[in-house]
Amino acid sequence: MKQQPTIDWTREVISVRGLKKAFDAFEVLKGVDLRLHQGENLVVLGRSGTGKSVLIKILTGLLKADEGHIRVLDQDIDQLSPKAWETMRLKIGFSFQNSALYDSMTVRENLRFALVRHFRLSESEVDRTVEEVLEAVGLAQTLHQMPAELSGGQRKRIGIARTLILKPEIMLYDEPTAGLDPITCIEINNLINEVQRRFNTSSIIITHDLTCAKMTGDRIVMLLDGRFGREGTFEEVFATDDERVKAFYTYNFVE
Amino acid sequence: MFLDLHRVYAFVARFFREAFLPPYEWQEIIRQFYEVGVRSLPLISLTGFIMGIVFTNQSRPSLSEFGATSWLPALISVAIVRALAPLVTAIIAAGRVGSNIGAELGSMKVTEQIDAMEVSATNPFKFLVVTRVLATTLMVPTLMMYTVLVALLGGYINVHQYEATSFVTYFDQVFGAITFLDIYSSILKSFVFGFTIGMVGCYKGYHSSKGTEGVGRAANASVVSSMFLIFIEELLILQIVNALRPS
Ligand SMILES: Nc1ncnc2c1ncn2[C@@H]1O[C@H](COP(=O)(O)OP(=O)(O)OP(=O)(O)O)[C@@H](O)[C@H]1O
Ligand SMILES: [Mg+2]
Repeated sequence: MKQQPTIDWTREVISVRGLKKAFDAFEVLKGVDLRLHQGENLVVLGRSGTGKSVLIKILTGLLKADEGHIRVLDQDIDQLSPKAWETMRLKIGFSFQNSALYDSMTVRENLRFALVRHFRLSESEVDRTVEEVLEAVGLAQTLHQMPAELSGGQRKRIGIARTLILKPEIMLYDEPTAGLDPITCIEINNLINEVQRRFNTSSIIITHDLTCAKMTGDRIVMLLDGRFGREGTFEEVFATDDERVKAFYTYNFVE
Repeated sequence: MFLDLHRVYAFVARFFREAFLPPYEWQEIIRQFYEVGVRSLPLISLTGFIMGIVFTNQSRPSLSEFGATSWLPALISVAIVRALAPLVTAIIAAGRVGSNIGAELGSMKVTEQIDAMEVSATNPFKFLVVTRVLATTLMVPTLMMYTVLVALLGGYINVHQYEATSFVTYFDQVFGAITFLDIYSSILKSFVFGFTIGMVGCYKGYHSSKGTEGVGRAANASVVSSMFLIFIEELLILQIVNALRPS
């Protein structure tokens, strides 16, 4: 189904130990452990409200963990200076659940926004880079459109393109296929795999879409009750008697 | 409204820290200047002009009781320069620009566009807040001077109609009645008002909570809080200027 990627299982680009996060008295993450290997697509499965988005927001510093130890690209993220965060964030691409495109800017301006602020490039180099990533996500014709004129699937792709343009080492996808029709879902899944291959990124893909998990995941972990319950390949994760896991599988394919 | 003073303080302090450090977002600054300044002109022109006419017309009876209608230009001038123009300009800007900033930043916040800037290691505060606050701080005084001008013209139209005062006489009296202190203090006041409008709008937008409801609330709170602050500031500055004014 998927070409064999080159994964370096000896190198951990992200390692999380004992991560806890609560909002007031409401404990969302209750001690999460997680490793992401170089070149790997890691799928995080979990029901709505289990804290999947919270988890990747902590990895990008948008939220602060209450407890736990987090290393990203060999650095402790709670000890980063603002300057070091900036460098770190350039290496992490974050594709938002709702795309989060800048809706007062055209697609071109969306893509240029971070690029021109971080790299000294000539106008023509910027334009070429923008065209390249648009090409990579298959939306070259949308260059001058506004986000409001795009479909949900197109917005997702532009969101992905906007992060790819900074050549990240790690990609974080928050529900890349949510709210899209099955065919568009598969196209997005293929795009995720292509990004992995072409840009040699390590990715965390957050989803509750099992097709997406199966197509893109080299390894799958399942978030249950604020912790990671199951871990392994797709088949391994679902070879269990745990009702919570089985229900997830059954309901995904119910009419 | 002022429950989280330390957050307000941090926000304002961050503005001063980032406003003077490069890189500068020139393009966005110019866009905001245009947005705040030029796009407010139609409304300000209309309001200022009508205010001049109406104020003059309504002041006439009390002066004519003492047979002092020849004092009208001086009265208009003092009232408009010292009080009306700065206040009216600020209130119009709070209504038009403040709500706009609150809604725009609020919706960027709840749709995670601000987070998206943050994770791409660009500085949303610099791009969104610094540019807008600079624009309101510099454009509100400019608009205020423009309001003075159109309001005085409105006053002239009315005075000319009833008392047949000539243009030169009118403006002679107008400028004779005010001092540099009046002008300086009104400009200073407008800087403060403009800064308040931009700051409050950005603060409310930047900290708006989840959902479309939050966006509406941010827009609304921007107007209400900034108007409230503007009147408080007006009172405070009045006290200071009175103390400075030679009696
Ligand atoms: N900023 C916040 N303040 C308070 N509570 C929050 C905040 N962000 C998330 N939560 C709470 O944390 C829980 C987990 O939220 P999260 O968005 O991570 O869920 P999720 O697993 O991504 O769900 P979904 O699949 O629907 O996206 C939710 O119950 C939510 O109410
Ligand atoms: Mg989520």
